Amino acid sequence: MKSFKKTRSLFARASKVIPAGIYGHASPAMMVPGAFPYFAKAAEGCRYQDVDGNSYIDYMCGFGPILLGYQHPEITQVAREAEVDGECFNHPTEYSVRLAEKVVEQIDRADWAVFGKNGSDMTNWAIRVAREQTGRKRVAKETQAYHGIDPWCVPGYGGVIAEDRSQVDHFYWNDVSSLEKLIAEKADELAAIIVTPFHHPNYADSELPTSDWVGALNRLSQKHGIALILDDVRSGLRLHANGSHCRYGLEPDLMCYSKALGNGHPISACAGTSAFKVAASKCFLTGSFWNCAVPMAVAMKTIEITERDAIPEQLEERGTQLIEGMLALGKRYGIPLRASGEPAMPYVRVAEDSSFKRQQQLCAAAVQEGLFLHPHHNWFLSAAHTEEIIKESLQSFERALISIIET
Amino acid sequence: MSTSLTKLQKRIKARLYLDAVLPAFEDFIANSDTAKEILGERSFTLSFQTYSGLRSYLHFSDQSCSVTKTRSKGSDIILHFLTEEQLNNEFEKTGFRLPIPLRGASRLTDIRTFKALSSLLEVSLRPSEEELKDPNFYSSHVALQLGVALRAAVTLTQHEPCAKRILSGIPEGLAHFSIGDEGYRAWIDWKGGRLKPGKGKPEKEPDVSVTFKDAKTALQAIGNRIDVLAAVGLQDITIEGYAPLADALGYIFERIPLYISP
Ligand SMILES: Cc1ncc(COP(=O)(O)O)c(C=O)c1O
Repeated sequence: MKSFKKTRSLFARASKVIPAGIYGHASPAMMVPGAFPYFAKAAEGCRYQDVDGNSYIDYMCGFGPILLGYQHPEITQVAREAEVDGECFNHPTEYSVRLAEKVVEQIDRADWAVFGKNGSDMTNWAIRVAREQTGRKRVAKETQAYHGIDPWCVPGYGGVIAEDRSQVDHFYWNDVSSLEKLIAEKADELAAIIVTPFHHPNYADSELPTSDWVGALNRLSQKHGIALILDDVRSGLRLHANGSHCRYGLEPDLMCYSKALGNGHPISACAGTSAFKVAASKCFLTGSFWNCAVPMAVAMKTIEITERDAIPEQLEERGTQLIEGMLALGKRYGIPLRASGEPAMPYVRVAEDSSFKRQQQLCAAAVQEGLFLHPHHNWFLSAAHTEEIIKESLQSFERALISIIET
Repeated sequence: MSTSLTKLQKRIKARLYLDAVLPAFEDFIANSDTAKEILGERSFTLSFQTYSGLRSYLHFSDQSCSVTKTRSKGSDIILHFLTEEQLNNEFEKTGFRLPIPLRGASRLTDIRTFKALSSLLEVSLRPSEEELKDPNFYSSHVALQLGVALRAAVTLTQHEPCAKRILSGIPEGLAHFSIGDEGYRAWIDWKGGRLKPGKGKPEKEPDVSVTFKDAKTALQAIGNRIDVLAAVGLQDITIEGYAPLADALGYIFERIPLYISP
């Protein structure tokens, strides 16, 4: 049995001085409390260690940022080189221009780019740009979709007032009629429709977009002059080196990135079409650390490697190997599993388990076997998940399955 | 607080007193020998009414009490409140609250019995630190409080826009709450657009099970007085299964103290 002794004592200390002990998506309450690691210590490649020294093959990749693997040598080198010149400056560095050029060159439909630190910085700013551009107020989002922590969309109710959400409308994923109905009622008021490339709600299977859905998003946004914002924060660079919209044929006006862009370094970006450039220039945007050079240098390198090494294709292949292996094992041991989402960001769970109790048992058992699989959230692969790592993962997964057979 | 409440909030508060707090008489009398003794052989029905049409009937007989929203027979005593605020004041013992005894003013013994039972119930719902030291007292207090909370959640989701909204985004399911391994158990079923509470172990497998380490943790959590996320991390509270349902109910419980502190 893995020991979580230090984990427990550290969390007891944390709970005295930090609200919730650990807040946000890393909160133990989001996983399987008591059976999951809470604090990380170190990581390399596709593995990490918790504070108790337990080691895991990581299928969450820092919840997305680790695209190439932890401490990827080329990224580490670029970071060190950029660091020599200083940390954070009064002005942007040359890196910001070079990175914007790189984004414009790499990301389909991008004519310009701006940079921040977190995904939320960009999703919120993109909405302001849409409002500036259209002169309208309202924003439409998918009911369950996560777009960040600002009051208009943050999950939960703490500190949120009804007015924060008074300009937000909802539609359902892949449900063209729900979108059409909304647009029929409010087209003249809608500044933006914000969507993720595919749907990955928590506590539910992921759903890929149907071609009808993509067609409706393109057609309706263009017909009614509504800005189409692609929130590619979670999927960006994992599904397609030129932006996830290329995988599905979506035609967004504004595209938001973060997570994988810096392979673990803090950076986010919003790119847009030339039609939105003047509006973008009018929406004030800044932050204390936004002129740091290192994450920009790293982001350029990450984009370069993604293209050079065909990372999305690699991830798709490995993800498929993982999913097929898991499904076959589930069948063999009489625990039917269901896979959803994209192979690069798969979600495999126990089928016919609406309470998620079996899924929680399975993921807790996987933790015991040295596999970090989230019970309720899509997973992430990185380039460090080689064929051998997937094989090793499947062996661990098999042991986890066997251990829950009788329970 | 009451002065700044809107009309809707005053009405919700009154509903909470009538539909969530008054039914506590049922469990209270069932579990208290003193209360049974006070009630003795008396049998009467007392109703709380407001001019706006809110009603609650307390039927006392056979050393027990049942609380209903509709009348099964005529009331012996009717306490009529001109406004919902006056009814709220009656429960909070503040401000102007004189009910008009529409009927039964002469049934002095029954009124006295009801007052004595009310005072006892109040002690059970709002005990002193000293009283809480008695473990038996403590567990009956907790059971009463949790009962009020479960019913209050139902009332809020029927009448309060925010609570309605919270629940509307959550798939149907059954939540089971328990204290320790052997202690108090209750459930809430979210189905067909309504919440239905119940005591004991639910008959079917719950979608989410919330277990509080002890009664104190349960009370503090339901009363929004502890850091629940930290308590979950520390495993003072365990949540197994479909946590979004427990979260949604938690958000609704958190809203109860905005209106009442039974
Ligand atoms: C789809 C999506 N949008 C926006 C965000 C917010 O990004 P951040 O947490 O960096 O602010 C996230 C984060 O998980 C995300 O998954």
